[in-house]
Amino acid sequence: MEPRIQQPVEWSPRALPLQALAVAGVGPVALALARRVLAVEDTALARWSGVAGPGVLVLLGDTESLPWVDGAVYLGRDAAAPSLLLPCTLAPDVSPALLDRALVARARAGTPLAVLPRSGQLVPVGAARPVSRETLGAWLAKQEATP
Amino acid sequence: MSLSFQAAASSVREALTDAGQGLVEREAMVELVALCAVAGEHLLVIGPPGTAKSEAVRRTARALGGGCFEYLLGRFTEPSEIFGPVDLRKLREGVVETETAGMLPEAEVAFLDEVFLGSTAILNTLLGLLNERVFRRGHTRMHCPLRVCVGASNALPEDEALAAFADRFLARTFVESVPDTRLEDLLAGGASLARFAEARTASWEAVDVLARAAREADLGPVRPHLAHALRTLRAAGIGLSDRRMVKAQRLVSAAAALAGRTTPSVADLWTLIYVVPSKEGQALARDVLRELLAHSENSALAAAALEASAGPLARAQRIAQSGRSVLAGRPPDADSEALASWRLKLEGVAREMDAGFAPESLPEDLQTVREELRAALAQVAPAAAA
Repeated sequence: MEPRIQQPVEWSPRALPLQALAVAGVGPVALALARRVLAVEDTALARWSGVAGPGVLVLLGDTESLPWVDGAVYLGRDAAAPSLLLPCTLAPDVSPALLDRALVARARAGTPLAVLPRSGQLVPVGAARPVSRETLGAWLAKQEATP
Repeated sequence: MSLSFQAAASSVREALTDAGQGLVEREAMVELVALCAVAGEHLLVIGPPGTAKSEAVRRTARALGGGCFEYLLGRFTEPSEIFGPVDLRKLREGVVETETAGMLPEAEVAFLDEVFLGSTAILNTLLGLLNERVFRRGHTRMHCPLRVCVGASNALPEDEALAAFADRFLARTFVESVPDTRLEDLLAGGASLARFAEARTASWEAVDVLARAAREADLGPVRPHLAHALRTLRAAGIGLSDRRMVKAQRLVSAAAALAGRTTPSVADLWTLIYVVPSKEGQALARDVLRELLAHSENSALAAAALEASAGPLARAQRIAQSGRSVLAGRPPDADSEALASWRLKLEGVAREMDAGFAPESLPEDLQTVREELRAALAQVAPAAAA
């Protein structure tokens, strides 16, 4: 079970979004994201690295290469919170630096950590690997088989 | 029949849209030249060589009514190369007059590349021309129709005298080489330059109508907000000279006029960013004025407003325009390669929307375009894997 963000943090829209460095999907959106990724040619797959867990998929890559599916969340880096990938469009109501230290202290795996406020998930992405069609396909099949 | 204010604003907006076609990362510069022309101020462009600065000015001049005097200054440039040669016939009569036909004193738009390399003789004469629109040399005294002079340089001058001269260029913009992500656009834009002859144009009459509206604009409602913004800049260590602060109002009024509004508002204060003289100062100004810049909006100067403020409304407007443009360019279903490429562009716009706006703060206009994009993406499947 991935560590969860403590409830007291609230998020509000940023006036100036972060540059997107990753895209994440949770639940059905993760499945849609995986299908979208699997639809491209092998050469295009090489543009992304990623991590996948139960009901969650995070892809990292250049901003212009990140795929889109409805409901996906784009993540970027705030200079004040270098260990985190934060939603591009949302800012926490606490100091990003404090949030950075708090979440890193609670995480059991390495950084950076993708922060997904709506589902309350923290996804370590330090172990992200180049996307493999076989691995992603197997993950998708397993997710689809799970009720 | 005189041109109405709304007709003038509309014709200039259309002309600017066409002038910016094919240019990459220079759309804001095209708009700034027009803004300065309406305001009666001058623009300084700082950036590396080969960044399409002259092309942007040339196009804007053509779009607004035609005619642009341009010259690359050097250490050994003679005044006669800029202002015109001495009239030899009159010289024989003992009168020192300058023949100005086709030269800077008769231009409505001027582009001076490497402007700070000009000699003292050139820059001193330029000073009067820029400030008072009067050309003085020998016995020649003439009023000049110059609306805007665009100076370009690789860097801001460090010499004090040159810095004082640079201060005559109220607006500043800093350009970079085209980023990797837009290289395809750059190549396509270069290939389309030959078709520019079909672009729509406005007229100097339209510019005059807008300039008059700008001069007559009631700045009263916006002045408290402007004063607050200036105090905020001062508190952040960005000190503008008294002259620059006062003249900034001209850009505010001109921005409103170009957008078809007769009363400037906080939506026009993004122009203040361009009055900050250094790149670092502009970046800091964007940060400390963030809340105010969130109100930025200008349908005629969308790129310049966006670049100045990166504000939500300006960003939304630009993304919406981009989305509609891509949606309108749908290729035939039979052309699977073109269709796949089109789909990628749609996805790019959708990504920009979702990476730029939280769902709860998505502007209404953008929401409409997003729904159309989503429907189009659902209809066209991604290219099949090999």
